[in-house]
Amino acid sequence: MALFLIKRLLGLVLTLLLAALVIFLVLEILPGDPAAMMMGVSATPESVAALRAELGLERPAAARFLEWLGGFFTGRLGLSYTYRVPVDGLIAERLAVTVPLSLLALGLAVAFGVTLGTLAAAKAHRSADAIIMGITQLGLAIPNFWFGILLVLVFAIGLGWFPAGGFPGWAADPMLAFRALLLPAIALALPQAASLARITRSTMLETLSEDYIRTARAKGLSRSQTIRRHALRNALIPVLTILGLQFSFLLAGTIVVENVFALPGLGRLLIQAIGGHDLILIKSLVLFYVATAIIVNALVDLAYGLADPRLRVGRA
Amino acid sequence: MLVLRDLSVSFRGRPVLRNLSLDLAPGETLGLVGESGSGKSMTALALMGLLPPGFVASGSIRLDGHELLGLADADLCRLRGRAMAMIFQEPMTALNPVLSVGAQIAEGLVLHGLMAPRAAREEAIRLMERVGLPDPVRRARSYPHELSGGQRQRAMIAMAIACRPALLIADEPTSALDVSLQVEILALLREIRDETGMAMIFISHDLSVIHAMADRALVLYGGLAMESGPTRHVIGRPSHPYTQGLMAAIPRGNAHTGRLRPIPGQVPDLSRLPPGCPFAGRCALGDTRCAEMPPPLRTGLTALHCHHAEPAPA
Repeated sequence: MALFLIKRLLGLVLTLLLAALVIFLVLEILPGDPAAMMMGVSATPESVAALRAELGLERPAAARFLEWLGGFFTGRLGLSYTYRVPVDGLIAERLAVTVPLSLLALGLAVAFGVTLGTLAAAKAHRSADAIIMGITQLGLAIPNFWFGILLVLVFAIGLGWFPAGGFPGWAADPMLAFRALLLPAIALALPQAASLARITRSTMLETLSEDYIRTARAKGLSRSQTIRRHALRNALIPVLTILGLQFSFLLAGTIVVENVFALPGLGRLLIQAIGGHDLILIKSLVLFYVATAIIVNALVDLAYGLADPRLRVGRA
Repeated sequence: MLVLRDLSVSFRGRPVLRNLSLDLAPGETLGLVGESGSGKSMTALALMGLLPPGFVASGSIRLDGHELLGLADADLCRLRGRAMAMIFQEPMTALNPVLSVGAQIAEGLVLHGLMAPRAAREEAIRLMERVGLPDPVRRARSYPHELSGGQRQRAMIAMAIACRPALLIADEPTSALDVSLQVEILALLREIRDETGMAMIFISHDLSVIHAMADRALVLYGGLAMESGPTRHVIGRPSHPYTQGLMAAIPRGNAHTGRLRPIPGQVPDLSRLPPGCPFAGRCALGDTRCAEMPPPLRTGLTALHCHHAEPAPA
């Protein structure tokens, strides 16, 4: 088990380093002067030179790369060019929106996806199944920015139950902040819930045809008891894999949805950074996204062991 | 205690089991013999009320005087695992891979309200000891993949007998095991049967296993009972051409003296059985009447369905 963990950790670190290298190469080394790119076409040679000096672009690339990586541990990622504040503080501030938003969306997606998928499998080839599968087909087809706009039109502008956008912050009224996040979370969760429901349905159907399900029924468990106690955990093991992969899509979704709902989150920060040619901010943000996706997938790998005793290594 | 009358099972209108009648007394063991596809497992699943979707049973199944056919699933759930239990053929796949063995054995006891969870866990360990699983305290926390095939089948037996059912259905419980393990598991089942006085339906394609286990034997072919009666008569003095063919096909100890004599022809496709005797096409005595008319029941030393053969007089 220890060896397995060490190997997995080593792979993780290598992947992260490689990702960081690619981001660094693309943004700082490839032809084109980063300083000139950030200042735009109207910049004078003197101001470009001044920025080059501020960014330390005259120093060797390897030193800059290592310094940047070190910044992730010390928190010194430099000053954002557009905001003129430290990048680490900026990211931390925006995480207060994006993390709760992602977790809320993930929770909704899992709750609805697994429940609906299980229900569809239990009622396979009957009308309830057809209706659920129809809805999920729709959920997969609708782009989430469009669904977000639709939610705003109906629930914010039409019914006035939720704010149409913006974020009041957690400090003043946490309940108000939560309400501001609910519609975007729903928009974000829709395609995830839809694909989770479809995957859960198929793995559940497969599980229900297993011999041990018949054993459980022979013991006297009802159909629904059998599904809850014997089938669900087995059916969710493959779903876990998909969930890990889907998390990346969820992160990408936050970028779009935060902009639709004008939420001051990480995704909106990224769009603003790109709009302002703020390379300093962009490179740290992109690496942050990549690292989150990679680390979540590694955590999913570890979660297998908890879900499936056959994958627990090093046990007698 | 168990009375079957004219039990038939059909799938999309096609019969897979025809008019099976049998009686079983407490403590008695009935051996169901037949090739794959003869309807043995369908009989077992029909008894448990666990026929796969699309299969329909008709006739009558009475357990201790209560009619089982037509019962709601909720009522059947109270009987399954409690009044009647079942052991399946494949110990490798019949246990849930993500639950500990002890939990799976204890589950029925709690479900049927016989014990509190804590007491059930202790009873599971006692049961595991009874079926000969070594180190039951530790094994109770093991998962199925950590047990060998024979150990899993023992765990399966512990699970089935946990609630002391009056009827145990064993569907080819040893067919997936090594010969040496087969003997052990058969001995264990006999011991438990004699200890508890439960009735048993023992399903096998292996006549020697039936001979070792069953008081009475019933030979199925193509969904129809060919011959039934006391095991020693069915196996020792078979009268039905199919049973005779089966006996002739068994390799003898002095196998060098002669060739094996297989029954000519193929097992009929269950989806296109002839209206008459399913064995008609392969039988030496078969004629047009056999293929068209269901064979009549004749009783003597054994009971058989045949147009031609007569049972030996009782």
